[in-house]
Amino acid sequence: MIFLNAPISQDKIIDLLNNYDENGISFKLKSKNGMKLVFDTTAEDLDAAAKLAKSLIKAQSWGMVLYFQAGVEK
Amino acid sequence: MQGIVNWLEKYVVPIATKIGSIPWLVALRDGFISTMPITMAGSFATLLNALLNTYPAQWGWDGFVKGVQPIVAIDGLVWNGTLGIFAVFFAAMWGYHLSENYHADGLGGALVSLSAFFISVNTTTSLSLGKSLSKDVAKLFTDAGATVDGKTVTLGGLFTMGQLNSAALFTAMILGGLAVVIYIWLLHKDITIKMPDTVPPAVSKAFTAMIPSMAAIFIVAIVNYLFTKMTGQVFGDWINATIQAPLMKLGQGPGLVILVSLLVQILWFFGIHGPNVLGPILEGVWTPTQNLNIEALKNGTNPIYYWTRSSFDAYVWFGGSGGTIVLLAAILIFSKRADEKAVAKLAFAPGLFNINEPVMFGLPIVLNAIYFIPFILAPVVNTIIAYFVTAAHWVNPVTVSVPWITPPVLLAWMATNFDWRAAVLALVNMVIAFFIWLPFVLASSRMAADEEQAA
Repeated sequence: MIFLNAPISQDKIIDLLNNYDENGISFKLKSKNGMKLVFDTTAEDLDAAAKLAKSLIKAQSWGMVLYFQAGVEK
Repeated sequence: MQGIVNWLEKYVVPIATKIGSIPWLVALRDGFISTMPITMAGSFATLLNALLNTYPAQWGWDGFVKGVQPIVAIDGLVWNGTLGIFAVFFAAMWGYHLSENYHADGLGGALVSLSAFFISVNTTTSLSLGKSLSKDVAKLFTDAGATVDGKTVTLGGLFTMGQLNSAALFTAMILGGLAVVIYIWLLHKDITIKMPDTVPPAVSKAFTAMIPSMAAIFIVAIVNYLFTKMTGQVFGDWINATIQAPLMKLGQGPGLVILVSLLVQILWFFGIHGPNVLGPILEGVWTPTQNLNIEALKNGTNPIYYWTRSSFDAYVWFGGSGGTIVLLAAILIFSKRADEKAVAKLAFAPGLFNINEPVMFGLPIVLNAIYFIPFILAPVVNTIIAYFVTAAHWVNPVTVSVPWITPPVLLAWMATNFDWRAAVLALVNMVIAFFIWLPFVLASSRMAADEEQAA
């Protein structure tokens, strides 16, 4: 699992990651608590998955201005 | 809080997104950021010179100073190839990012921008002499190609460093930008030479860029020619005097400095990357002043700009935006909340290097109503103090680019060319910020205790 601490644009983030499925890696929202979003992922390397999630969001026009944190949920 | 977030999502985020995605502004910000290795190299050379040459010379360490002259000479060479011609690097990076942001070939854009820049800067330099030259000496100069007018000798056909340094940044921005726009427009209109598929990609790319590049360069040359014909001035000189200099002055007023400090904090608090959104102002207004201050230090003259890009890092953003290192200290000393103490312990080491993501999201500060006031107030108060103390010449202005990950206080000391008063100012600001944060830390601690008791 990976987590994202994102105070705003949560719906867009969830939509983006839930619909991502490339190179055998996909994400599915598991829980949402305040600004924390937790995603299940099919990726084996969770660090890389968190980085991928961050880069996917940053690549969006609405995502490049967001301040958020991505990491591995322990 | 959810209401504010919804309001932000509806009204502020779209504006921030719009600003953050305007290709021009993004290219401007990224153009400056791309030049960071060059800035750091030039700045480090200046710093070394101060350490090894300037101060020891003042202390009378003549033998030492003589011994380090080879290093001083190397520093001079580094300067000549970095900050001494900073606008050249910026012109290239600006053209590159602008083109890439508009889906055109970045390398071609960089070359076009560079060419436009060199077309637009003055290629003559005048030397003012103490007295008029005798006829014979004047003839020697004119025979060698110079122009002699009274006490002034003008040399042509040369680019001087004074015309290629940070004082020429707006020439690069405006006329480089004009050329790149023409280049991109023609590329997008497909007014290009098409080569067969059998031609190697590098050759094909060069031919594709040929018509757009030539047209852009010629148009900028015509604009420059007409401008000089009509006004008798070189376009670049006019831009420097009429646009860049007043804008640099505007950036030195307390209003803009404080406003940007405030806006950055508000944006951070609500989860928007403040320096990213405001990057064009932060970099466009205060990076040139910083480079010009570094140049003043290198030339042994007094830096004239109070506020530069690194002033925020030196006096305001210690431990990261919001001056959060002092919040961590307040929590570690006074908080009774185990959760906050745990985060503070974890976040303290990165905080020493001005990385505060763990505390921003771990505590959290983002969207945490109890910490809203100190997070906004402390940096603004620190900015006001640092600005007016610097403006009163009680500390040296920032004259050295220091990486933002340099620990607080040390950063201020180094950035001001080892002015101990700057280190004291940073410390004083930290103490003030500490006392701004403290009541809120205690309140947070008390609230948690009350909630525990109630449970």
